[in-house]
Amino acid sequence: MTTTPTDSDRDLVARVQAGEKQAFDVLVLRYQQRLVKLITRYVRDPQEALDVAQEAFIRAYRAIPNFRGESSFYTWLYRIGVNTAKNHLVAQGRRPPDSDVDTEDAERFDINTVLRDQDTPEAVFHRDEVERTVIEAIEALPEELRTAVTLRELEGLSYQEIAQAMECPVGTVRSRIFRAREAIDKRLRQLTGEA
Amino acid sequence: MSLEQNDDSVAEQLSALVDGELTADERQFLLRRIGHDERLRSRLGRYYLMRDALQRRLPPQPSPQLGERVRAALAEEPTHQRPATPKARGSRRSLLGGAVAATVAAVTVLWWQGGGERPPRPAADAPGGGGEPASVQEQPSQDQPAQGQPASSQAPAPAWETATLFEGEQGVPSAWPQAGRELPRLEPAEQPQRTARLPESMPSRLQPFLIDYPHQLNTDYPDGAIQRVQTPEGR
Repeated sequence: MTTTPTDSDRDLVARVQAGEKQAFDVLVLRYQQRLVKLITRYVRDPQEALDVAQEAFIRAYRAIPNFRGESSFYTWLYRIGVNTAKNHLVAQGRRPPDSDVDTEDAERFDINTVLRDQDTPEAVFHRDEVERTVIEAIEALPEELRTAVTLRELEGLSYQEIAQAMECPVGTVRSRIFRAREAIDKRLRQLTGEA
Repeated sequence: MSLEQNDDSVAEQLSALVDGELTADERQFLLRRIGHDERLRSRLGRYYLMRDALQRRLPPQPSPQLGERVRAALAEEPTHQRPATPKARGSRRSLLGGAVAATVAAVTVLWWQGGGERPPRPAADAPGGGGEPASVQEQPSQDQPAQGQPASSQAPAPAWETATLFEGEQGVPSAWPQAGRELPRLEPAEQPQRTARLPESMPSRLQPFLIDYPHQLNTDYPDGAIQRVQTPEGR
């Protein structure tokens, strides 16, 4: 039986609470970019933001036995990230912003408008480059792979729904999305310098 | 299956993990592998990077290394101990049942160790005696020490010695499922004949407990031929 993203997070959290540390690895990989982006709103320096994000994840791991699932995992992590960033600013003798950015607003922020004044030209180039690479890789895909991965990543459809839309088996959808990701990954590895 | 085919098979499962489209068994297997394979973790990080790029969730400088930094920092952290449960609701129920069972065991052991006799019947207006679940926050009566504190030779009997199980009285956790339920008390003339042969090792102070609650007797008790005693109500 497949799970929704929220169910998937709950399952991972339960596993971490039961002692499976590798489940926390997945949670970190899943939310690391979003958390760093959030923290960057408080801490300008990219390296400093990474340090604060690392601290936030460590705090989340220590507190996870107390997480009861009343909110989504990311909402809970978001609060830890904001508090960690504020504490970091206070420790540095800097004043945190007067108002927090709530989760929904943070998700809707346009990268071309909100963070422009905080970004160094090199940092913006890097994010833009990643986005351009991914989009170009998708555009270069065969149609069935492009359709499958677009329905999944941009429309959020499940494999079952994509299978119905594309009139093919679920297994074929799974294979197509995987092959699409592999093609994108090949280009990303060239960009990030990974083998 | 060749090594390359095996790698592709695992990578395809990784892709399905990103979408929450794995079965529980597949997830279990893959998580174990992720814990031991840095290449898999790196690939998983890039799969999520693709998604964040498309959904405009990237920071100014996306770093694929944060995951490994956190992992290294957590290497010294102890693993958590709570057993895994598939759903939060189920875990609450099982925790509640566990707490109840632990409380019964603790009260029984403390009562046994303290040499408590059959507790007296509480007054009708005692807290929780009328069917309301008792609260763990209730203050013990003034002439009794707080629950759990050992009684001195001259101090009044502690609450746990006078607490009656299954009757929802003071000291019984409010989560107790039978708290507040009024059980019928047998008058001395109605009490059935004691037919149980209890093992010599069992303290005599436990015998009234067993006789008064015959439905609790375990006919499989290893040391004795305890017979089920029927109350007039047939319980």
